[in-house]
Amino acid sequence: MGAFYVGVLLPASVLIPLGVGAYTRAYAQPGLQSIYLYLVVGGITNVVARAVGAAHLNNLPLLHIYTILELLLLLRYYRTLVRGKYVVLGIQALYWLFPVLAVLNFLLLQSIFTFNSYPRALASVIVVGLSLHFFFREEGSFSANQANRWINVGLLQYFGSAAFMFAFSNIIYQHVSPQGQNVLGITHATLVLLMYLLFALGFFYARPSR
Amino acid sequence: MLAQADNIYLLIILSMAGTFSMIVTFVLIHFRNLHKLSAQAEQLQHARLQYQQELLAAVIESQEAERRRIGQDLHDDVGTALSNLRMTVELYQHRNGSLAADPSAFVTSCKTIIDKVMVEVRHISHNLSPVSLHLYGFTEAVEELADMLNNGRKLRCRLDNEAPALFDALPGPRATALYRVVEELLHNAIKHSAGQQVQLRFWSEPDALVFSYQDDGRGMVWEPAAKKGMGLHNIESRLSILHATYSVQTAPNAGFGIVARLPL
Repeated sequence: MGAFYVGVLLPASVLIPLGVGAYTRAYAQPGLQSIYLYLVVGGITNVVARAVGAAHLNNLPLLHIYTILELLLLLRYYRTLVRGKYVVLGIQALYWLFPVLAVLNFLLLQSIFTFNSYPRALASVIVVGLSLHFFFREEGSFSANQANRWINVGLLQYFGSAAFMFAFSNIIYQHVSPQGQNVLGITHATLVLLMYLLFALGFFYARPSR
Repeated sequence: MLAQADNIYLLIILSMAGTFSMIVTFVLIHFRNLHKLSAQAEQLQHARLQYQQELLAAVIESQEAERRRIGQDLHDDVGTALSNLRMTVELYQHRNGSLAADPSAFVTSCKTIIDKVMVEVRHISHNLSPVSLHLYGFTEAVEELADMLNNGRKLRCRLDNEAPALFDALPGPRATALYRVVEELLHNAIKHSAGQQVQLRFWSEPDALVFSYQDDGRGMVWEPAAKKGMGLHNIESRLSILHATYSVQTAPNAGFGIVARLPL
């Protein structure tokens, strides 16, 4: 049941926000386009990782590359969303700095065949920070900007809740029992599913008004 | 080793659950605040709209009252005088036929009636558009208003203008709007204040022209959001046209005062 949930249901669930986004043409909107691309990249990476894993090969190098792509796409999203000189400068710096740090990490610190706990935890903190910045700067009526609000709830709940798991992923792999790893896998999959559903809700609110 | 591994697993699950709960709580509080702010903004917008509607209604009502007054003045004064003139002429014609008519008395009578009509027409046209404001400027027109008040027996008006040149330099529509505010305040003083003294002051500040009015009448309970009479609505609407900020100082039996600042 756990294997079906984590291995089949979760990768397939990415089609929910992608379908809603295609229906409401969210992919054509400047900010939401990055989130749509993030889902496409996430979906493809998930399928490839399953295929590589099924061939009994180590698929963790994919995670190292995916972490960089993921944060670059999310930074692109926040670049269109946030205002403020220092935040925009910070995002522009991270465009260059984070990929360099992530590459240096797998060249010097953590093997590309182990979990990239440092960059992944750092990426989570960055996304949580940007999401909180969005919420604190949010103003206007409740009915306005619903799409970005729900997308940010999704990002905040996923990256905020899973940050501990990312930070301790190598320790979990080495020290936690297979049953424990299974429970953590299901918990992570549930957080991802929740994020996908919140993205779908955001894309739904992005439909053009008639 | 196993016990240590189980502990790490438990700690991570607990940390994730704790963080998740905090995020959910944060989101719920944020949404509730956003809802509250949204409702407050809507209420404010509604109040603003209502105020604008009330102001518009007062403007329309005051226009109608003005038209009624002009109609009544024309009918009662000018109409009656012209009827008198017609009767005088008819009487003269009638007498001319039978009895000896006095041409000089007829001419005097006609002149008197025509003079009366001229005075009435001048009075009506002055009310419609204050001639002295256009001919001699704001200061002179306000002095004329004060003199009119002082000629009556009810109220004494003290006028203190420290910046006549600046007030006279006001563009036509702004000068007329301010003149109407002064006129309305004096009209209210005669009609409602039951006071004996009125003081009008005009002066300038680096970034504004300031005008104040104070009477020693019965005053009123002032609530900015409360429903007001047409006169006060007129004053408010004209001050808003002037982009003026104003403050009112009044209380029952403590007179009525207003200070308005017109940005330069």
